[in-house]
Amino acid sequence: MIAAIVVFSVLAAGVGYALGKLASRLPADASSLADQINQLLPQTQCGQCQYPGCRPYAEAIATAQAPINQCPPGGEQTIHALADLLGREVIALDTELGECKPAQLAVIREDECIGCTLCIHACPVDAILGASRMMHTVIASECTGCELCLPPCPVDCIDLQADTVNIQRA
Amino acid sequence: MKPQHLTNRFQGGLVVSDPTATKVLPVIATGLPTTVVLPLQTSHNSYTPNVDSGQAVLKGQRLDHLTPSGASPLLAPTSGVIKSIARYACSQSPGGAVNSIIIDVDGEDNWHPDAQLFHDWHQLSRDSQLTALQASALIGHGGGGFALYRKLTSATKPIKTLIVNAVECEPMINCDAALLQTAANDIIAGAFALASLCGADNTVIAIENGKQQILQSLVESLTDNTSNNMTLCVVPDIYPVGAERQLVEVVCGVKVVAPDIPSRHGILCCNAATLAAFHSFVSTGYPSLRRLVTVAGSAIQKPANFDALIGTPIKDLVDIAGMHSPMTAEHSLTVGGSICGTGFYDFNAPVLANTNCILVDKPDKNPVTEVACIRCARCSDVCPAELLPQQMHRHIQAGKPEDAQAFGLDACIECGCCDQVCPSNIPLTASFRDSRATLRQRHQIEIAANESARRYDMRQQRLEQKTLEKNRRLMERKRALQKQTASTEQSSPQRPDADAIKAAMMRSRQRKKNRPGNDSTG
Amino acid sequence: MQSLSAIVKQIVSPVGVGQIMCTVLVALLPGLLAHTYFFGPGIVINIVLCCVASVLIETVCIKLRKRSVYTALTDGTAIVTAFLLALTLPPLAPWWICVLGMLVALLPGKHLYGGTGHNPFNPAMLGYAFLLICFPLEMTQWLNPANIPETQQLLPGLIDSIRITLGSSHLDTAHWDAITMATPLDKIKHAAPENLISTVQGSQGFIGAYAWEWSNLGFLLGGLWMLWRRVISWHIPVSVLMVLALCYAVSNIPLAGSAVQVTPLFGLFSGAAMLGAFFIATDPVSAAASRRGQLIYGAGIGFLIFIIREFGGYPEGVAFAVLLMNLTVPTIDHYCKVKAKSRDKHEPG
Ligand code: SF4
Ligand code: SF4
Ligand code: SF4
Repeated sequence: MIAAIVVFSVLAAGVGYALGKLASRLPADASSLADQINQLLPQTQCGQCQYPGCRPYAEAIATAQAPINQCPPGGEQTIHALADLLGREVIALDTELGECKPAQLAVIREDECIGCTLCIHACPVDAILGASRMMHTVIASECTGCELCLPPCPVDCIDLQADTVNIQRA
Repeated sequence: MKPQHLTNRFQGGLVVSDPTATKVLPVIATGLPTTVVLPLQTSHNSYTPNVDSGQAVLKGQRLDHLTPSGASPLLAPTSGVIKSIARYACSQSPGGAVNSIIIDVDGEDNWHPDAQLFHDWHQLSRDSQLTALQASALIGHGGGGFALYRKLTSATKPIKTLIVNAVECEPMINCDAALLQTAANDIIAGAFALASLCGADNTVIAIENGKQQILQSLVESLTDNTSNNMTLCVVPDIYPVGAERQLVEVVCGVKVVAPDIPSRHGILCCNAATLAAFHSFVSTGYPSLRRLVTVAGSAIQKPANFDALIGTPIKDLVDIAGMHSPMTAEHSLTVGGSICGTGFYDFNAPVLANTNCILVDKPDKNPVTEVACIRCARCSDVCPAELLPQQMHRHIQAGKPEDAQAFGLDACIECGCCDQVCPSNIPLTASFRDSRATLRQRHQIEIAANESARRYDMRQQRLEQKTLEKNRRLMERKRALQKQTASTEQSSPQRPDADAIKAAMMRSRQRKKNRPGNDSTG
Repeated sequence: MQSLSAIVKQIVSPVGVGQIMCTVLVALLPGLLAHTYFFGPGIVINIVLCCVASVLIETVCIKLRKRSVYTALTDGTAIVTAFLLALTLPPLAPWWICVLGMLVALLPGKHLYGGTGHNPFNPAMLGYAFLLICFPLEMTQWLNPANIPETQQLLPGLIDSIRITLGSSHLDTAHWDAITMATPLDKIKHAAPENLISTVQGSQGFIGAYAWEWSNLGFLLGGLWMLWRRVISWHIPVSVLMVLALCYAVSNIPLAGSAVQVTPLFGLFSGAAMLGAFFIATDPVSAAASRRGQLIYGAGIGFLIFIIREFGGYPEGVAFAVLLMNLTVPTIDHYCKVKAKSRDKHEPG
């Protein structure tokens, strides 16, 4: 009787300790999980996922408020990576939010730019350079091709091009 | 001068029987082509053009924007007008085409006034010699396509030994043999110049066993230029003894495994053709913009070594060499030798600084079929990089090139030995080359994504700070106002302008009432 | 390691899988001849039966999988599997034993995993293990080797053998008992310790048991020839045989307390030791990939053969040893990454 109690207490203590150790190795809280998810997102920061950027979307996935198929720029690859990480099932991209396109770059037709600074405020990664009533330009190596600068431009002088400068990003 | 026979070996490798090994093909000089094509993206360099289509350029003119230090510039190989900057065939890109500058040659071949970088090399200080070398855009003619300047400046240890790589162990490639026969003196002079530039105390000229003729001409040239710190070594003819790391192992007994490089061990290994080009640069001050290219293969009528301008479309050379039958899609095109050469699809692609050989072969009558790997380990037995190709292949097939990296994919020298011995006819080298490109690309995407994330976070922080600032200022204003009211209330309980406000409101109500038909919309 | 690793090679004529398998078949001949001499033509019938079954099953499978039948048959792996299985079956085994064995070897053993190159287990050994477990009686009736004069005349000839195999002629029990016997390894297993010495000597061999010795020598010869032709590397056979011999040597130390004392030589030249070491364990597909891994893999097989022979319920352990080690191959491969390091050969260390 006493032996049994001792054995089971020791067992319980041992297993409890081991589990505790293991748990501390796993992604413990939502914020570190969000970090891991954010690592897998393409960082285009385009907002097509209906969140104001990749990190907010990552946080939403981490807290199970959003499905994993809302990122059009990442496409299938990202969905697979997320499914892998989270142990969820692979689902098809929600194409209502957008299609997965090859990498692109925004280019300002500089002679038409009126220097309104509206695109500067829209750019999520500060890739547009310029000042009020001066010509603006896109820093090609920083542009993620998110298209967010297109709608605010009052004279529609921003084009999207296939990304040939940073071919590597394709 | 007595050649020294080395018997050192590296692990793996193939003894290749090459019936043409002792033959040296004739050298044919070619004139100016009608077009030259300069790819903006090659294996080690990428350029941003500073010119536009329609612009006239002169020979030796710089065509790209200044890029981070260490990169070598892009020079116009001859004078002409830029036809366009567009995607064009390239033998070095797996996709087949890259953005390129296409120049219509005007035939004048006029040098740009700034093209001559110096008048007397020996008057320059070491630093200005290095700067001039960088500006000369001299890219290794061997195969890797590294800029000579980069190679020199990547050394972390003082260079003690300069190895002149005159080994051409891969069947079919013949241009270095031709150069050794016709311009041995240039190579030796280039070696002297480079040795004094990098401070090497001894220079070793390495040539593989079995090339008697060339050995003879080298011995003669060396007897004329007697020097006690230059030795001639004959290395065993085992493919790929001409690969940089393998040659270093045989000559110096130092094993260098990627990503480590020989120059970190005080050794500089330089291709013979590069040294000849270096000599021409040092003696004239003008950058060297030509190279020898072997054109051969079963479909070529008169195989030869062509002295061609860099940027010449390969088609021009093939036309001169002549083909047995017109080119079809079934002909196989290879750039490089018959073992580790890579296939390409469009023979309009240009000759690059490291294009040593073009092979045009007749359609294969009985092509081999690839079957599954039987894990016979023949590939790992011959791998000079001491890798396990069968395991890397397995992981790549499973769609996990990153797992292949754990098996040393990065150290693969893409020599093609494993392909040659594989009984299952698996194109191992090609799959390694592709996977490495994929991984490199993935890595770059990752870097770019991390940068974007960083910039996004920074912007987010900035915006947050801005709102905080704004709120703080609002609060301050409010508090100031409150203070003000409090103080005025204290002095006079009734605000002085309260009556005035009331009067104004009355007036406006009056006005509204008087405006007919406007009562509903307000 | 530095000098001999380069392989002479014509660029134009690469060795194909088919050629490798052909060499293996040729290398099997000496052992096969010895086998036929001592055990009569039954083994040849086995081989023919297994080959026919193998070609038929292979063709059907490849057709069903919609691959090129020509490529699959000319790679020769199915025929090698048939030979190996046939050589491990008792001569005069009923015909359906051969067919069933091949069926298991090729269907679940090979094609369900994706065909040549993808099978984690040695197909022939899978077939053999299946037969041994399901039909122990048929699988353990070995013919008495022909060296004993009175049974020499009793060995059935070719026609008789065919009829026995096909089941159309039944030997009377007395005759059957006269020509069949337990294998020497079996005898040792069941012998009481006190008459063990006479049992072993009674098998009339100078090192092992007479007939077995010769067929093992034949396979050794074939194996050496394959080594010389560079069809196999030395790593697996050497490690299997060394460890097996070592185990026997250790068990011979009186203190080791083992009941059975058999000399290492007897261990190496009895049962399927040579066939196993040179032909079965070296099947590249199911073996470890790296040379270092192969040493570990071979050592494991040698050790397990000894354990099964000594302590297991079966007389011979090659099949199970190989299958068990096949299980460990992915792990071995995972941990045997060779990664070269930069080094200066002139400086020590
Ligand atoms: S949709 Fe755009 S913002 Fe959302 S996760 Fe994908 S890239 Fe980031
Ligand atoms: S040589 Fe070919 S078949 Fe043999 S292990 Fe290597 S990849 Fe596999
Ligand atoms: S190509 Fe790479 S893996 Fe193949 S033998 Fe050469 S170095 Fe080894």
